[in-house]
Amino acid sequence: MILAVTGGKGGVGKSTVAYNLAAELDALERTDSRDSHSTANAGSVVVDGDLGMADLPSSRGPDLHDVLADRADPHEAVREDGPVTLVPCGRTLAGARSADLRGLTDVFAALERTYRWVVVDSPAGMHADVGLPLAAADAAVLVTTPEDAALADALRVRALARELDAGLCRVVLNRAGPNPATGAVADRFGAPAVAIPKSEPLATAQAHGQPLRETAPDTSARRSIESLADAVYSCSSV
Amino acid sequence: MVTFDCRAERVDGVTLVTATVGNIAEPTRITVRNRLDGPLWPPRTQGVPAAGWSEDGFEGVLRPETQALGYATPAPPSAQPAELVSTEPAPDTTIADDRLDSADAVLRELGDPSPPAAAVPTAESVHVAEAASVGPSGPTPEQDIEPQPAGRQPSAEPRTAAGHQPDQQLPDAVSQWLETVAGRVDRAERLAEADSLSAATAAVRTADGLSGVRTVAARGETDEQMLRALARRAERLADRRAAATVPTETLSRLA
Repeated sequence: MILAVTGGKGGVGKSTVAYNLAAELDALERTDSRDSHSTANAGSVVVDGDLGMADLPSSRGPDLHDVLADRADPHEAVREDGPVTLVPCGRTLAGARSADLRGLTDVFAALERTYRWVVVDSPAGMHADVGLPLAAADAAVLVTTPEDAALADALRVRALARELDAGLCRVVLNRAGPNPATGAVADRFGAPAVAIPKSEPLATAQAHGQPLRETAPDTSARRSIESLADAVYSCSSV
Repeated sequence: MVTFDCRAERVDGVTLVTATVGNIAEPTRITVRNRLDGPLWPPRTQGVPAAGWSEDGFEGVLRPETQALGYATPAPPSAQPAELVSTEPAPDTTIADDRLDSADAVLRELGDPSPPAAAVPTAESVHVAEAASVGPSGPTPEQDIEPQPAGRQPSAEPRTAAGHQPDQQLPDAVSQWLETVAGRVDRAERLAEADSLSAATAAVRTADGLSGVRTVAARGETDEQMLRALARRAERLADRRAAATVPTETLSRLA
């Protein structure tokens, strides 16, 4: 299942949500397949889809730029040695320029043959690098903060997702205060909302390339992400 | 009856072909073929050919009344540059431009966010920048432009380091591509050498399973061709560069 994590505005926590969601989905998938003794596809992979300004952890070797420039195959760019399996994206402008976006859909499809969950961390904005993951995705998770500017941008991406037939599974109200307006947000976006409280441990974990479920599993932010993963998991079985 | 008029005009070494499709009563699927002897350059939006265009011509559903089509080609013009091959009523079809159902359509509509060519540092400019930076250690301008993740030391991948230590610093993009290909060559060699079951199992495992084996096999020919093409081109460029002596002193005397 291809899941686009998107949101319109930059800095609202798309990458953090994508990374942690992938970690939780992976864990859910492994529990699930252990119970049913199935030999289903391996857990999850998160793809850093921000071709111009990548921010998920990276390491030496081929990345998404190389795949989209036809210098490597999708599976050659997968890093399975970190806490979360991921396809990093290059950091260079030359790489961003040589990448042919039209290959994105095929990359997601190739990964989906191996991984049960392909979580795409989308960039900010409304260009084709946001539209293509949405067009390829089975479902979308929209990330926003409670600020007006972020909500307005998220609504625009909501409209784009509708245009591209990407079903909206959940809206994440990130860095929410003590009384998050999840009801109002859900009404406005037409999908249930999950609030993730502002969390220092979450920011620290992300800065160190770790999912929160490993660094601080007993925090309220972790529990929110866990419930988001549960919700996304049930979106897939509908 | 659908009418078809076309003409060609030569402008600055390029032939511009304009066609008018008229008298369309209902949405109609039409096929128009280029008859000039040269490649067809279709109209583009955001760098992507407009819906319906291929290297042969245009095929798509047009709205009623009169519609215009146009393309360019380097071929010389003629009296009948294009022809209407077929028309077929298609009353229930959605017009191609109105759908966002393909990667091309999404790109056309939303735009490719790639940085412009002028913003991309070239190998030359990086070298100049490197030469200009004084300190041997510390961040060079290159690192400012292209921050590399930590751990990009040559020792991070012992196979490549042990196998072929490059004696000359190559531009980053080139060496990165060569390393990727070298990885595939290594795997192919290991797979080819495996003459026992245990060696084969180990080789398949390091090639990321059978799908990895297929990848290595499928890319073999392309890799070889690209490597040889690169070698030829590099050789030719090196020869040309060696033959061209820049007369710095003469030029500076003239200046």
